[in-house]
Order: sequence, then structure tokens, then C-alpha cells
Amino acid sequence: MNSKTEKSLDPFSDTTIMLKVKAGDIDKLGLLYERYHKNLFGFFWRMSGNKEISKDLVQTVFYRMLKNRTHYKGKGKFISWMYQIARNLWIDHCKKNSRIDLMDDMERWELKDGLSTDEQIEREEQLRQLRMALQNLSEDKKEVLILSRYQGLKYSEIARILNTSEGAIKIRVFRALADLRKQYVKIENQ
Amino acid sequence: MKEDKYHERILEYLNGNLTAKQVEELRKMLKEEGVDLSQLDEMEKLVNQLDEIQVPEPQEEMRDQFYQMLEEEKSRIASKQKFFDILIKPVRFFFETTFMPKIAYASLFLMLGIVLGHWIMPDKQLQSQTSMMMGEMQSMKKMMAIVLFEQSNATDRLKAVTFTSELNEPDDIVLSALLKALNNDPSVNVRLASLDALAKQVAREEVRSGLVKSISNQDSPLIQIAIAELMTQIEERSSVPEFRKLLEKENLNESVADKINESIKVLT
Repeated sequence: MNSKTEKSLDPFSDTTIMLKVKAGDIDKLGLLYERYHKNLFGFFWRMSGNKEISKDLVQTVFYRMLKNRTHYKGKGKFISWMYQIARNLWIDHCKKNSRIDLMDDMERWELKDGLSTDEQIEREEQLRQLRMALQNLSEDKKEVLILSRYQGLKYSEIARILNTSEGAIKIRVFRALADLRKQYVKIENQ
Repeated sequence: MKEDKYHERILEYLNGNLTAKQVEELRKMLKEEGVDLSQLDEMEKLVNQLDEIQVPEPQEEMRDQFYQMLEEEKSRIASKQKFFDILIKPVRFFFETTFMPKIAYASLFLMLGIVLGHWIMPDKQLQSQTSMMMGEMQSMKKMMAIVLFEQSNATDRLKAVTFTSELNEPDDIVLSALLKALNNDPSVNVRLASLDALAKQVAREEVRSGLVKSISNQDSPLIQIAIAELMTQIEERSSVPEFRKLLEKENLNESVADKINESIKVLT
């Protein structure tokens, strides 16, 4: 069976569910919300460092999906379409809000493991510097880094979202990491 | 940047996709190229630090707001639909209930008459036209089936299933419509008829896979038993996990559970 037919017959695939939403069964959007709201929240939170902004942007992504459901074509992976909406919203958000404002809003990042107080203070300082280094990256570098390392997307999927080649994405990710290192060293030595 | 040449390899290294030997080779190569290895180590340290950052859980109110937005959209659609229905109802009633099926039937019988006429009085010159007509009849039946599947009346949808059975080679669109009917049609009779029609196409892998996937969707004991029988008959072993899922459902009819257990026994 070819993959196209398989996809069209799988009632639980993201694409089939979104096509049902398009056909008027809008309750099904709830399934996609349950599947992806945490991923999208993570994406926006890593981009902005702010819970409130992330929450509002996640809601707006699903609002746009609902309002633009008739434009959904079902071609390509659903998550590519979803992240295209998400990054367009992020770009709009950045145009309306200065980077300095975002930096001021940034919240305390939390570590996964429990450390002793001294270690905790030291690691928090490192994370503060890392956070600043990340925020000092250009939006396109920050975006590609987050999509590749933390949103679980393959380079080929990011290439589709950003409308470029897989090779170009690999170079962008590498340069983003190299730039992040430079920014971090600079901040550390200040 | 010198490292640009090796960016793919370095990314694989940072993603943890290289073996110890490959890491050693990469480091050796970078050193020979005059790359400062401490930069690579710093990059790795940063990546690990980034991995340590925990994304906070989104607040529960976010979910509430989403479902509230969904409800508002549903109400908006419902009120729009209501207004539209008032305007369109008489026209729609005339076309869908009276006019469309009649035209479709008339066309079908006309074609049938022409084909029969040619069959009774064969004419060599017209033989190619006859086969063309046969092809057009098949297309007409397919079109009628698709139109009738959309009707609100269960009898019309049953007719749709009958038309699909008369097609020589139902295509993906027809099979998809049958599977959709099997999974979603409110009438048990339509679902059963769809299952019968699909049973004739089990040689096709997409049908077998569609049937297996539909097992857990079914809540009617009649359909559950019919699918269990079909799967046993065609010896579809991939259906076993789906049957096991069905067995876990609460309030599963006892006869159905027995039948499923019997099928699982045969298939394993």
C-alpha cells in the first residue's frame, strides 16, 4: 500500500483529523490541541522566556487553525503547517514588541535536577548567562536551534517549514551553536 | 570558519549519534585542521546545559480558554447555519430529495437501455462505443454512490453501498467512502452493508488495513462480531492487537467477547 493511501485511510493521523476539522467537525481540533499544546508552549517559551506570552501565542495558533481551517490542504505533515503558523505569529509578535522588553520580562529558568545550594547558585548563574547568550542570538538562529534541538523536528521538516534545503538548515543550526558559544564566552568574560 | 567543513559531523557528535571511535576520529581530524578543540567542548557543554532547562507546565486555564474558544466557534457556526438553512431549505429539499436522485436514476436507465439495445442487436461499428458506454456507466454508478453517501436518509446511503458493489474495480475514493461509512455512519444497517461491500475487496491491502483500524471504532455488537468473523475468514493476524484493545473496553457484550476470544485463538 502506498503511503498516500495509508495516510488517507488512517483515521487517527494528524492530517485526517485536521481534514475532519476542515469539513466542519471542529470538536476534533481538541485532539490536536491535546497532542501539541505542550510542544507549542515549549517552543514559544524557549523563544520568549515568558509564560504569559507563550500561553497567549499557543491560543492564537489554535485560533488561527480554526479560522483558517478551510485553507488547510492536507499536503505534507500537519506539524509543518502548525509550526509555520507558530513562527509567523512569533515574527509578528517580535515586530510589535522590542527585544529589550522581552529580556525584561524573562522569568527564572528552572533546572531539572535537585542540586545543593552552592551548586544551585553556580548553575543558576550559568543558566542566566546562557539565557542572555540565547536571547542575543538573531531570531532566525534562535528559532532554528530551538526547532532542531527541543521541538523534536527533523532537519528535513524544519527545511519544509522554513522553505529551504536540509543542507542549509544543518549549516544554520551549526552556526547558531557556534554563535551561541561566542555570545556565552563574551558574557562570561564581562 | 574552518569548522564549517565538518558541520554535519560535529552536529552528529553533539546529537550523540557518533560511536566512541568516530568521536576519536573527528577530534583527530579537527586537531589536524588546526581547530581549537576546547571550542568544541564548550559547545557540547552549552548543548548539555540547554538540555537541563525544564519547560514549565502550561497552566490549566490555557486548556479551559481553548475549549471555550471552540464552543464559541461552534455556536457561531450553528447560528450561521441556522440562518443559511432558512434561506436554502426549500431549494435544497427540491434538488437533493426530489430532483438529483431522479436525474441520476433516469441517466442510469437511459444508459442501461442503450447498452442493452446494442447487446441485443450487435453492430460491429458500434462495439467500441458500447465499451465506452460501459465505462461511462461505471463512472455514473460511482458518482451516484458518492452523491447518495452524502444523503441524510439511511435508505439512500444503503443504495450508495449497493452501487459500490456493482463497480468492477472500486477506486481509492470509493473505498475511502465505504470505510468512512463503516466507521462513522449512524445507521447499523449502512455500516453492515459497507462491511459486506468491503469484504469483497479484502485482496487489497489498504482495505485490510482500514478494516483492522476500524475494529476499535466499532460499538455495535453486530458489527464487532461481523468483523471478527471476517478477520478469521481472511486470516488477518494483524487484527489481533486491535481485538485485544476491544476486549479491554468496558461493557463489551459477552457474546462479542466470546467471539473475539475465539477469533484471537484461531489467528494466533
